[in-house]
Amino acid sequence: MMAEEEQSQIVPAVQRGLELTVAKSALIARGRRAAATLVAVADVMYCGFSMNSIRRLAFHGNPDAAHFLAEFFYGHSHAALCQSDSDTLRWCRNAAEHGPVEECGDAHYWYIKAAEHGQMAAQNKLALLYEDGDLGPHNEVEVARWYRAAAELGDMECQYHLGRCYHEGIGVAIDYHEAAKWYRKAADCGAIYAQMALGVMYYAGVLHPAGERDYVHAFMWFSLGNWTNVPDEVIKHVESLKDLRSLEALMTQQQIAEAKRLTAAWKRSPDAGDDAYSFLNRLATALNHTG
Amino acid sequence: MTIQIVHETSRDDENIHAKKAALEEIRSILAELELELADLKASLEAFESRYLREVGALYAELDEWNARIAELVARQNPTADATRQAEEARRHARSTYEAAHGDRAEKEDFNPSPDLKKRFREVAKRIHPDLASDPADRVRRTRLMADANRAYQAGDAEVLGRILDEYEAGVHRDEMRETELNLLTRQITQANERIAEIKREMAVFRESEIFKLKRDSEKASGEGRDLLSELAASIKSEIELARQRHDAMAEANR
Repeated sequence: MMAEEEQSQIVPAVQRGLELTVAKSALIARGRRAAATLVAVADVMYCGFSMNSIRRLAFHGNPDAAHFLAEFFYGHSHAALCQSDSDTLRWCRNAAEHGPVEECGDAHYWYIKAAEHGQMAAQNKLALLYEDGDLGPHNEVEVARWYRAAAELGDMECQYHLGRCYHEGIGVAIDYHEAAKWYRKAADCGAIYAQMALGVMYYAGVLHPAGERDYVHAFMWFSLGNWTNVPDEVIKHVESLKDLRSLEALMTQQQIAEAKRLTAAWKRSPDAGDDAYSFLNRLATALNHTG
Repeated sequence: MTIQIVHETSRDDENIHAKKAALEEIRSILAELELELADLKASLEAFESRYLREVGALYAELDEWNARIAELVARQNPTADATRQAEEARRHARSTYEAAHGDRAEKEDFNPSPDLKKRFREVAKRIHPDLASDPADRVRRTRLMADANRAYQAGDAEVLGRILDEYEAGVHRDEMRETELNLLTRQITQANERIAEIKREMAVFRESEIFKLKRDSEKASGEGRDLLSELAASIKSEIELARQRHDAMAEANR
């Protein structure tokens, strides 16, 4: 059996591990999104579609065209001052110089247009921008609003973030059960961070009215969450939990068997979220249709 | 009576023979999958390390400037909202810094030699924990297998050889208490369970952002572009912008 004090160290260690993991994953996701924007802008420009035709589509309410313009102007405001000779940035500059930028050069405006038309990637981006304070004053209500919009349409990433909003009280009142509900949806689509967050919630006992720890579900979500993305220096602190041996030591044989049964029976559900590229393919199709 | 015993024994022998052949095949599959998983992990780690070094560090710098700007704003106009935003920006900058600089050791690009791969396969076949005969053996094999994974990722064929020697030296066949047939059956079950686990683990890796970023970067590289460098260039321009803004504000403040 594990000593009481050792137990009391595990939850903070897991939380710390989770925070670092989430920070690292956010840093990677941030780069991937930015890279997708660079590629998207370059690809559409490269295919010879004019900014005019994209703009026309956007004004007619095509959410993908609106999203493209938003990404374009968002990227462009940064790229404009760039001294780099990279081809992508040159395309950006050329397109901006020859396009009617002054009429619609507002990334924020087009993100909202796209988001209001249910474009999940734009909703996700809008929430992130509000959360990072990139759209003026930090607005937590808007953060939760746009995460919710995409989460309800089935975007795995936003389901996790909405869970985080309820977990930490961002733009909504703290509600652990509501947090667990959204984490669960994302976790079922295979979001590792949601699986780990759920594991921590069950382990900490916040989902039980009397605060009782639920080892069976903690074990299940931890083993699904895999720990593969947790940095080594954190693993050192939670080595015992990592391979689930110490958690097993707290459990009865029956509980372990039940947890293993749940793990084996778990099935991934599909993520309805938008890939960074898919909107671009749809946009190219729409542009080809309009000639 | 005598005939019956001989008959039973030979049927057992046949069974054992078949199971041995099956186990041999599963061992090869398991070793191959362990190798594939180790390759995937190592190549993702190397790519992640490069990303954090070339791009993550720049994001950390950008967030640092943004935190300084928010702190300047809060100092100029110390409302509750501005103070909270400055704290938030500082916290964000710290978290980005930790994420970007958490891995002290820089990982080289991962290009295992065919010889290294061959050795790892041998080790995985011989010492895989799911082929253990009893709990003590399993603990020992788990430790050696973890060592082997580390050695493989570090590209150290010599250590892999030593691990195999260490394992062979510690095998006590006389300690086996189970009948051979039971042991074989259990080994096959365990190996199959691990195979399923590896497949699940690889699927998780393929869903990760870093895997997708690596894929995007490889696709771009096929078109003669260097995505990470482009990304770095665009963040550098943002940093320059933020720095200018900070300096102008600091100047006006003076």
